[in-house]
Amino acid sequence: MSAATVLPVAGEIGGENLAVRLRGITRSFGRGESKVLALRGIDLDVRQGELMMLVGPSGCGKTTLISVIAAILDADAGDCRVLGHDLMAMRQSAKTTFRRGHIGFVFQSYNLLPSLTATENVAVPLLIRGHGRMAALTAARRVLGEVGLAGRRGGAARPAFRRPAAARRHRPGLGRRSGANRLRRADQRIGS
Amino acid sequence: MLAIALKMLTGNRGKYFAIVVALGFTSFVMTQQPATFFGIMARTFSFLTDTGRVDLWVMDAKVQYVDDAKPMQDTKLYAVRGVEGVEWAVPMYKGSIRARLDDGTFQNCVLVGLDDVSLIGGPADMVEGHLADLRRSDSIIVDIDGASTRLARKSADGAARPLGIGDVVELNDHRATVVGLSRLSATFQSQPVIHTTYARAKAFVPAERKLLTFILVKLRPDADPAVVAERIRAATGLAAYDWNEFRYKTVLYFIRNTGILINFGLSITLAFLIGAAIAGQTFYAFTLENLRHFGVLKALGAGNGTLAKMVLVQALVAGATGYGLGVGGVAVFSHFVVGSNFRFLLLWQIPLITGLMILLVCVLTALLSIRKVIKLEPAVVFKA
Ligand SMILES: Nc1ncnc2c1ncn2[C@@H]1O[C@H](COP(=O)(O)OP(=O)(O)OP(=O)(O)O)[C@@H](O)[C@H]1O
Ligand SMILES: [Mg+2]
Repeated sequence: MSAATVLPVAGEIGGENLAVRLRGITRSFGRGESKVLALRGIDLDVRQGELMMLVGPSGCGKTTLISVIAAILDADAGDCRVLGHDLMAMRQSAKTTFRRGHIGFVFQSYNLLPSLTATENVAVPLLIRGHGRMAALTAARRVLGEVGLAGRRGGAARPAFRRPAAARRHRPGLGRRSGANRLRRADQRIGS
Repeated sequence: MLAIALKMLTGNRGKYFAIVVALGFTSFVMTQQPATFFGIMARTFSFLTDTGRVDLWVMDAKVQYVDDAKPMQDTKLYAVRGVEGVEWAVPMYKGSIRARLDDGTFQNCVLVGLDDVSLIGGPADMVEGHLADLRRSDSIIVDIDGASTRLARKSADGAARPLGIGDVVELNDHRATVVGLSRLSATFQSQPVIHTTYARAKAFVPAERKLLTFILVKLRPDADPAVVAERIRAATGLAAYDWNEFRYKTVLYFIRNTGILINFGLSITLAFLIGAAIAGQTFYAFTLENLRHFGVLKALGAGNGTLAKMVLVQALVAGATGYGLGVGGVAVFSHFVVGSNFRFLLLWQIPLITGLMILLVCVLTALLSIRKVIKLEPAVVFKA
């Protein structure tokens, strides 16, 4: 198990305008014999608007690191600031509110709700933010149209994800788009 | 978000169906069985229902229920009439008698003898004839159910002909003429009920020293039933109950002396436990199945309160659907058994209690599921 390696793709690290600033982040799983130290003191700076890729062998801690940054996993120690918020000082409910307002996800395993239509799946983040159902569905339909996923019949964007074939075709685009949607608000885009 | 919760629930057809069917089954049994139980219980005091409300029923102190005839001497009637607070008191005979039909067969009947003068306690609902016709000689009134079933006569061609007005029945070797047909509530033993006068009843039944079964008492307007009942007890050694007391005494006797309550209680409890267990377990499994999706919603910023509300709405909607199905099933069921000989009495409290029990099951199950969802770490969304 090696510590995650962080490769800034473009630009040098600046002290100003940082989207992410990590210092000495550690995180372990389990205890005793089976204890795994997944993050061993990570320092990381990511500027606003920067495209960052995280590369490393399987099990090196990429997902763990991203989970900490996305405020869905607590670090054991260190300093973790995202978009100016001190995540280490936040309680769970504050982290939930923070995620709701600032973080978008593009899941590798899609994580779509199978009983919802594509439009509804895209609308979920807006619904969570308290948008009205109609407004959320309209926005979702527009976004699906923008990525060329408007419904095949009569323009109604309601492809259901019940059939695997259709699902496979639509999921990546959907995920990308719903992530991009949040990116616009959060200046954040994080993938697993 | 609640609409999404519902789509999650109904989208999982198999589990949704299982939960609704389990709760529907429970609701059905929990409504239908008590209704049947109360229907049977109501039959135990149908004689009281049909006799109408007099202020006090006076009887031998050892009488345990309404069909438990323990006759008294006629002199007791005068003793009761002398008690302070009694406006009037009339005798009533209630016993059984064998009726001989034309075709030679015998049928046991309930014989009720009413006060000759007032005919108090006679059937209120006459299908044919009038209560006053009992003043004619040798007259009797027969209940319509008995007249058209057990007392129907078989003619030569084998067809059954209901007993009607003008027909003659032999009661213990005495000829009696039918002058009226009454409609009574269904009785427990489903024997035909014959009404006649007290004097005639005494003539019909085999000679016995005591024939006075009940004394029906009307109180003076200002008299307190409990006080007068106590005075009657003190003065005559007889028991006196008001209508409700006697009714409860009768029901209680049947509950104590038959296994009926245990039987019904057991089937209701079993139905509840089985239905609740299946529904609860299926709902919990449904939540576990969706745990990842709840994790996604959590990661996207849905708070614990929102997720708890979603789970609760899922449980309540499943519960309401099951309850509606079950109670609706009982309504359909009762529609088909009305008028038949089936015993059924759907008190309004029954569906209410069933509903509360279903609600309890749903809320408890939801709490278990909510606990799971609240403890869920949103980091599960990145697990493969
Ligand atoms: N919930 C957990 N409980 C126990 N150990 C865990 C848990 N999550 C991660 N780990 C361990 O922490 C280490 C880092 O895991 P992580 O998932 O972050 O790796 P990764 O770089 O994302 O790997 P991959 O490329 O396979 O996705 C691994 O050794 C893993 O087994
Ligand atoms: Mg990973």
